[in-house]
Formats: sequence, C-alpha cells, structure tokens
Amino acid sequence: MVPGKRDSLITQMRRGTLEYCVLALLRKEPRYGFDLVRGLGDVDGLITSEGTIYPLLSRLRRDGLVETTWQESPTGPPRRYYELTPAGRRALEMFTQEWNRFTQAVDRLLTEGEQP
Amino acid sequence: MKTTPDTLVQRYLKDLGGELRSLPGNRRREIMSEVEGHLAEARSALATDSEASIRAMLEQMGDPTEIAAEARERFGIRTAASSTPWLEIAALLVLVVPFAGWLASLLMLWLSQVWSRRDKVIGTVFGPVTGTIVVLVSLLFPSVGTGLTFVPLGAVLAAAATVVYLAVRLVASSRQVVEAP
Repeated sequence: MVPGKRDSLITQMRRGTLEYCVLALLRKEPRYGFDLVRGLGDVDGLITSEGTIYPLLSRLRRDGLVETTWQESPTGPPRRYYELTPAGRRALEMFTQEWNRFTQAVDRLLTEGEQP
Repeated sequence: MKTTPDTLVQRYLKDLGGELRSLPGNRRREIMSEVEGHLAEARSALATDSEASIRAMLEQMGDPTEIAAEARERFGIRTAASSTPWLEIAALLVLVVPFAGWLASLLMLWLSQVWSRRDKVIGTVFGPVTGTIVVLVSLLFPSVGTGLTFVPLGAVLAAAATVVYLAVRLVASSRQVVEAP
C-alpha cells in the first residue's frame, strides 16, 4: 500500500475511536491531560500530535461526557482532572458493545479470505 | 532576540493562540491553558532543558495549525470561504450605475451565498426607500431646490448608502464563524 493511503486509513480509524479510548482511560479513575496523553501514547499510532487531545477533551466536556475538577499538584500549579460522567460511562459501554460486534465481523471476513 | 528554551515555548503558545482565534474565547482559553500546563509538565520531565530537547518536545506536541484544525473540526467551526468574493464585489461596483446597473446588482445580490437573507432584503429596499425619502423632502421644501436637483442627489445617496451597508456586511461575514449546535 502506498504510504499516503496508509496514513489516511490510520487517520480515519483514529478519528472514530480516539474519543472512546480517552473515555476508556478514565474508566477507573480521574486523570489529568498530560497523564492521559501518556496513556494514549502507549498505543501506537493513536495520537501523532499530543496537543490535538485538548480540543477533544474540551468537546467531551461540552457534550457532558466528562467533567473536570481542579486538584493540587505536588510539583507545580493545580491540574485539571477529567472524570467520566454517567453519560460518559453509558457512551463507553455502548461503544464497547458495538466495537466488539464490529471487530468480530471484520475479523471473520478478513480470516475467511485467507482460507483456500 | 536570543533564542532560549523560554522564548521557544512562548513563541509556540503565541502561534497556537493565533491559530485558535476562530474559536469562541472560553474554549480557546481552555485549550491554551491545558497546552501550557502540558508543556510545563513535559518540560520538567526532560533530562536537560536544552534548546534541542525543547524543540523535540514542541514537535511532539504538534504543529499549532494541526491542533487548531482539530479544534475547528471537533467544534464544527468552519471559517468562511477565504476565496475572493468576486460576485459580491461586482454587485457593489455595478450598483452605482443608474437603473440597469442597480437591477443587475440586485440579481447578483440575491444569487450571492455570502450575504444573509436579511442583508439581501435590506440591500434591496434601502435604495428605493432612501430615494423616496429624498423626493418627499424635495416636495415638502420646494424652496431648497427643485426636483431636478433632488432626484439625482437622492439616487446617488441611496446607492452610496446601499454600497456601504453591503460592503460592511461582506467584511463582517468573512470573519464570521459558524458553530454546530
């Protein structure tokens, strides 16, 4: 595949899933921006520019999927912590179900093609 | 000015602020303060505070234009078409030509996708209304001058006022942003 095509494919897959990856990272505990970016950085190809996470976080907050609180930091100025709202938790559950169904169906098609 | 790690970060934040200008103020400030906090955290985690490592950190943060593009997309904000509005400029130019030009400019006014419906209505009635007022004044105060001097004057005033109004609206719409609900 030509590199440009691969890039646009990754961009498209990332576009649809990134916000749910962020919600998933918040499932257990509230986290602040820098910490979230590090969590996402562990997944290859999910974010290319770290800064693009902040418009997304702002949008999630406006949509009521996360809420924020300021907490003291041991090292510097206070940090804005992001936390799932009940609506955010429901959105994450819905995505998890759909994602499982979707990936299973796609996997089946991809592996079927390999059989002689 | 000497390039230091501080000036690199300041310049980056200034660029980002400029790129984010089409966003509503509260969201721009939120993104700016988060990016600033992130950079402070990332910087304190650096092994050395050298110019090279700061540049690498900013690179990882991403191009301000890319962050701004992401923000506009997330908030459904589009900047109005930046191409030159030739149709609108032509409409304003021919408007000053008596009668035939005015009719042609009305046609272009209503074909335009830049002016709003409200602008189009105002642009259409403004000329006739101003013209009528001037003629009425000339009838009420015949001592000031005859209709012959008032009618051309009224037409010129009406055309000029319409051009000014539509030009102002044209400039305003090029700065306008549209936000998704």
